[in-house]
Amino acid sequence: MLKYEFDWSVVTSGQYYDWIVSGLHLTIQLSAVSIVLAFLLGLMIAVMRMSSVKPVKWFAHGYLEFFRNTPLLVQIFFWYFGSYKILPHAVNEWLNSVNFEFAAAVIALTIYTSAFIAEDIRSGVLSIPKEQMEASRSGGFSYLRSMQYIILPQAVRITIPPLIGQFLNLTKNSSLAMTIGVAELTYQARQVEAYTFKGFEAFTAATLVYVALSIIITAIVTLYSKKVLHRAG
Amino acid sequence: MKRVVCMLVCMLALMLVAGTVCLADTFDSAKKRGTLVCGVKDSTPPFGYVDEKSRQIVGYDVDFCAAIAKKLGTKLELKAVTSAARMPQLMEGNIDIIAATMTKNAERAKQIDFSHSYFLTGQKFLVKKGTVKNLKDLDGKKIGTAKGSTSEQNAKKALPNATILSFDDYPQAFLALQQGKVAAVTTDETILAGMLAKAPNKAQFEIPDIQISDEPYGLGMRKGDKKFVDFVNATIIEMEKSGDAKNIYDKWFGPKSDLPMPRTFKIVADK
Amino acid sequence: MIRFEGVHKWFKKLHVLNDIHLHVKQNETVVVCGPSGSGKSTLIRTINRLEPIDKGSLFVDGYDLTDRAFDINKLRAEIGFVFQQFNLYPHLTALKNITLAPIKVRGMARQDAEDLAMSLLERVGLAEKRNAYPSQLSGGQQQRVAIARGLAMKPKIMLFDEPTSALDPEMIGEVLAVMRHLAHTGMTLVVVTHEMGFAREVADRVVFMDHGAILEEATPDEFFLNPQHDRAKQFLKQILTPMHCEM
Repeated sequence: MLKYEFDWSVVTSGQYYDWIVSGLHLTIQLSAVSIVLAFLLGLMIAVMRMSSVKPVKWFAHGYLEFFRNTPLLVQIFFWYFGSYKILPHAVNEWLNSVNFEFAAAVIALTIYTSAFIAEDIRSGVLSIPKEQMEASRSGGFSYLRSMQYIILPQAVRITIPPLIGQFLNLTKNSSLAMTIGVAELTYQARQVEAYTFKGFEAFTAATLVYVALSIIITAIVTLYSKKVLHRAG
Repeated sequence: MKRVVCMLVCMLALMLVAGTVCLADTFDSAKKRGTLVCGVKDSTPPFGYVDEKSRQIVGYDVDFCAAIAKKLGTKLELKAVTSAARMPQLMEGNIDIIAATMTKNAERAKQIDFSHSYFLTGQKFLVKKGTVKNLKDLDGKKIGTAKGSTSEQNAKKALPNATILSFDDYPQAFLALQQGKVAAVTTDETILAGMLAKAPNKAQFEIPDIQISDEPYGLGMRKGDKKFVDFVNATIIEMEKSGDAKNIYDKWFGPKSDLPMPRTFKIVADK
Repeated sequence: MIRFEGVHKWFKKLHVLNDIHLHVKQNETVVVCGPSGSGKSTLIRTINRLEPIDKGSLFVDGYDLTDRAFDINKLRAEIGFVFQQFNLYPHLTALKNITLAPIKVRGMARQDAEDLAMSLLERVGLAEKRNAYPSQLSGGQQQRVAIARGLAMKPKIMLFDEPTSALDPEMIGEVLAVMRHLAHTGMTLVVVTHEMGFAREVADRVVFMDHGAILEEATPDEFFLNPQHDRAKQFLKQILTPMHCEM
């Protein structure tokens, strides 16, 4: 007869609590930086995808297909280990001297998620009546300026719900960064488990924190879109 | 919001139920089943790794599993485990016994039972040749190891200012060393030597004589599984007496092996 | 100011503009009319190259529109365009709809642009609606804001593409009043419309189109009192009959 003894104190105080908190800090940093970058990059790729310049359009198309159809884990390994082979020696030296683990994770999360965000934004743009583009072009705006001031602000507003989904995915996917040694939340939960063998407690704590993070992100984006984007009512 | 809370409560309830798994005596259940399921490493030469020719998992740990299964009169089934997953897998009943370069320590002994030590090594560092003379050279550097291993904890104690990067397994840690992402890989000397022996550019690396801990390996079994633990202990003591244990050692670490190392221990009953 | 010389355009096989010759002089108000599908909307949309032409040449404000090299955005900034469906930017207030292009395209200071926008809103009678969003305005109000938006760029030419066709009858008057005022200020206007009363009152010339071709070009008096072409006669008969006045 084997019985599992619960001991929640390991995750509510002391050293292991500190680990979980430090993991949370890193998860928040990783997610926040990647969300902002992925959104901006996604906007850019979406615009490129709709460009009338053929090479630009095909580049964006290839980008989307490639990064949406490759597992994120593979991409993380690619940027961390694979980039070593293609980068010049001096660049590698420099990368190894800084916190390249974090940077590689941000790059992978950003690029992977931006591909999904770009497609969401593109479908948002396609739902904006073409007359909006005609009106802004008639006003003397170039194609890119029209996108920037007229089309994208409207498209992003429509795209808010799928965007929230992508942001949440990104936050959860950030746990894969632990495979290259980034000590984020899941990594720390595993550490706590490895040291205390209190896996249920550690992962329950991590789960609750992820749920809380998701709720907070949803609230922030929803509030922002209500306050800033939906003033028109 | 209400639904989220409800879901969480449900999940917790499930975990509580899952947490109290009852398992019958392994000695009897394995015999009845006709197979012994043994958790081994599959990328840690020479303890457990995939042989290039046969595509089978082989190694020092595997040979011990085979001997125990033979004595038990069952077939042997191997399951690849990682350092982090091996204990939960044992406790959940996915495997019957762990033979996966697992160091015996007090923390672990609270959760599982160990056999007598069947191998003895110490934790060292694998580094680029000429870069490290003593422990101080590594302070403040990035050190690679594998998740959930005692190596990580020992390294943290020995090098409080170093950044420990835990990878999923040792080959990745070694790759990080080759690419200069970490200054050293730290774990048991035998594992390091095994990695080095298999590396294509082995001349560029070395294992300096810096030992930060003793690492006695034990076979892991479920806590309180007394009949099985006694059986395993009796078996390995008998193997020592018959010379089988030494033969296995020589196969992997003897003068003719890839990793010649003198045998500095004998399998004896723990005090 | 605007010169069409032998302009042709096809939509696939449909010949939508057929050998157009037309010259609009500075300060002139030209009304283009004709049955639906006659090509009059396409004609006006070629003037700021919302529709490129396939054959012939077209000069606007000294630019050759068939020349791909010149900066079309520069020319478009000089041409105000008012759409049938208003096409205000729904995410911006009336004021911001008007100030956006002056600030971003012309590089005007925000305060100057807002002062200008307010004076324009006053001119179209909507000063109190400056902070309203398009969805909060009636059709007539939206169209007046759209006209103000066009005027804010201080254009040399204003183009109107059926500006009253999408409006309820009671709102047509307020929009026409603004346009009438504009015509009197001496701006160059090209107006596609069915509002024959407006044409008669303010147009210098009336152009009648059918099947992609200009069939008749005359002063309002000539056109309304003595149309030459059979189809023009038929069109006027239909449109001036009270039953069809809202076409």
